[in-house]
Formats: sequence, C-alpha cells, structure tokens
Amino acid sequence: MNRYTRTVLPLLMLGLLSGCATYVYQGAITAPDSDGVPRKAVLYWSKTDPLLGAPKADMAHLRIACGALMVYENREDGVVFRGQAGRDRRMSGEPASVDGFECGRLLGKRSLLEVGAGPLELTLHCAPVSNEFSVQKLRYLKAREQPYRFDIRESKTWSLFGAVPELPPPPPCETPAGKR
Amino acid sequence: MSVVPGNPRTVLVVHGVQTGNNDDQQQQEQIDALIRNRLGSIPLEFQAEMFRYEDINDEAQALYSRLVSLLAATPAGSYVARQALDLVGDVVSAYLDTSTASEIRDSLREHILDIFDIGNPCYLVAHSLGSIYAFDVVNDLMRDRAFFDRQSRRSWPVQGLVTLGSPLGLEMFQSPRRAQVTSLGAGDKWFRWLNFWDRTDPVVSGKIFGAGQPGFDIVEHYQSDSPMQGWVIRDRVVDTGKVWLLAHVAYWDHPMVGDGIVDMITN
Repeated sequence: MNRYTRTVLPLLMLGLLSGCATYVYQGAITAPDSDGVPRKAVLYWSKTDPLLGAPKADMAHLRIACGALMVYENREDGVVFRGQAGRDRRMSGEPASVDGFECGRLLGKRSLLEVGAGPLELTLHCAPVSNEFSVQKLRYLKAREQPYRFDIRESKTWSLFGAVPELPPPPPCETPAGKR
Repeated sequence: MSVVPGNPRTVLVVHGVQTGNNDDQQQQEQIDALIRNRLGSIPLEFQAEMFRYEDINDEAQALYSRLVSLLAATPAGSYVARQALDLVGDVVSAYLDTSTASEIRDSLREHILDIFDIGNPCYLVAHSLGSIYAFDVVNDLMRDRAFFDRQSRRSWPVQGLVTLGSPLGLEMFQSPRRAQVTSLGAGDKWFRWLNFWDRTDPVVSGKIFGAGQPGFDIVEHYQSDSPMQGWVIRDRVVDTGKVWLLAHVAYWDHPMVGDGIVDMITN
C-alpha cells in the first residue's frame, strides 16, 4: 500500500461511516400572539442525510418573540404539537385533565422528512397557562381556526464527521409600544 | 424548607460513562453556554452545577485497574486496557446495582437536597448512564412523604428532569425498581421529564453499529393514562447532525436541546 492509499483509504472509510449532509429549514412570520400583540415567530428544524443510512428529521421548533416554545414532532399520525397537562389550554377553554392532546399540526405532511423549501401551513389551537415558576408570561401565537402559513427556506452543508446544525437564534423580544 | 419560585435556578448536570477522573467532568460549562445561547431575551438568573461521581467509580475499580495494568504488559496496552475498564466498569456498576451505584445515588440525593435547602428550583440534566442515577434518585425522593406534594411545586426538590442519550429504554436497565415511575397522587401540578434521543445513538438503541432506531417512544412507556400519576413524559427525537457514537456526545451543544432546557427551567 503506498502512502497515498494509506492516507486516502481511511479518510474514505471515515467519510462513509460518519459523513453527512445537513439541511436547515426555517421560515418566519409576524402574527398576533395569544394576547393579540404582533410578534415575530420563527419555525425551524434540521435534517441529516448520512452517506450510509436513512435520513433523519423528527422535530420542528416554533419560537415566538417574548414567548414560549412550541414543538411539532413526527408521530404515527403526522407532525403534531402535543399539548402538556398543566400547561396548555385548548381554544375551547377546556382544561387539560389528560396529557398529550393535540394542540396543532403541520397540514398535509406525514413526516418532516417530506417537507422541503416552499410554503408550509400549520395549525395552532391551544394557549399556554403561566404558573408561579414562569419567569415571564407564557405566550404562543394566537390560537385560531385558520392555519398559519410559512415560506420555508433550505440551506445545506456537508461534513466529514457530521455537524451540529446551526439553527436560528431566538427572535428578540421587541414589541410595539414597549409591551413585554 | 421550600423552594422559592423567584430564586435563581440551579441546573444540576449529571455526566454519563466517562474515562478520567472528577476533574475531567466539566459538562456544566457546555450546558451553561447552551442555555445562555438559547435564552434570547428571557430574563433568567441561573447557574449550572456539576454532579461528579467518576472518582467513586474509579475507587471501586482500583483493584481491577491494578490487575489490568499487570496483565497488559506494554505501556500502550496498559493505557487502552485501563480506558476500557473505566468505561465498562461504569456500566457494570449501574447495571448490577452495586454498592457503588448506591453510593452514587446517595451522593446525588445529598447534592439535590443541599440545593433544596437554599430554596433554589433545581432541574436535572443527565447524560447517558447518568440518566439511570438521576431517574432512580428522583423516584426515590418521590417516595419520601416529605417531598413532592402534588398541590405545590414548592415542596419539590427537583422541578424537572432532562435526559440526553439515555439507555433507560434498554432491557438491560429494566428492573423492579424501574418498573414504573413513582405516582405523585392527586393534585394539579405535573412533573416534567424530557428525554432527548437521536435515532442513530447506539447507547439509546443498543445497536452497537448505530443502525437507526425506528418509532417514537423510548421512555414514554412510563407514561400512564391516569391523572394520578402526575408526570408529563416526552421523548424528543433530536437530529444531532451526527451519526453513531458521535451522535451520543452531540447533545451538549445542540440548539434544540437548549430550547427544551430553557423552556423547562423558565416555567
């Protein structure tokens, strides 16, 4: 084995074992929060496509300026935001005595692996309930019947060892009329 | 003794299987940086602390370590053998539920109660094998009638549990003491457990070559339908951007893990 082969072969093997393409997807809108105040909201997730093995993308985060985290995740029946007992209240005002009820979903998608750049609609029909440990009032986007529409952008990087995806920072808490 | 909701949060980090000694475990710095990075403009005072138990494990393994050094004649062979013993020994201690495991649990419980005594809300972030100890100690504390009044989180020494790359779904770590989580009884406060896992993390799946783990649930089988249980348990499948063993150590600086921790400790 010559020197070139001795160098290239291990790198090739390493690349095959751990090399990945990483995609980051993101979209932003400004819309009223659960108090009716317009806020910036950012939706984002990543997908890793390894050279060997299946691609993975299972969870999207929706963060709102001055607000709380909403998680849309792959489940058997689609990409769903599952409400938490003690935290989420349905639009109907029904109290949450059980856990895991649906608070929203990505429309027309069975998995985040199906989602690429372009328009994406999601629903949200819960409002959060603050508690004595909340350091600021809990807010989501306003719960409503009609879906929110995001325009999703895609970016791609490639790495020999894989790389933790660079996801957008939390939207800054800037509000009109100084409301927090 | 009671927790003061307005006090600074303490995020207590429990490391997993490691080589080296206590001084090598500095993952609290990564968690501190991760939280600050994902807090944005949320006003929060907190500190990240480390619970270290590598020296307890190393002490228990000292006799075997000397034996391995004798058997592995060359310096390089001795080094590799010692590292292997360090890792395997950590797992065996937890798996067999040895006196070493008991000592580690007692020490973690003591650390948590020290934080409780000063009234700071405490949140556990446990990686890998550390999640076994964290899970056991939380459940032990729940069985103590002095804590975890379901009507008031002020009586909770631990406000929430975050596990990263946990082997708790593996059959080898199932035991009578882990058959179910401790029920909190009647009330309207809920104990939150977030379990982050990557599909190719071999410590989660038990598939040593990192084949993808299908499905969605790793620890959610602990969730019962009864509102008396009082737990909200969520498996969160995180795409770490890495595969195989690299995925197992990629949780520490992942933004989505940071988002989850921030959401938990600010509420």
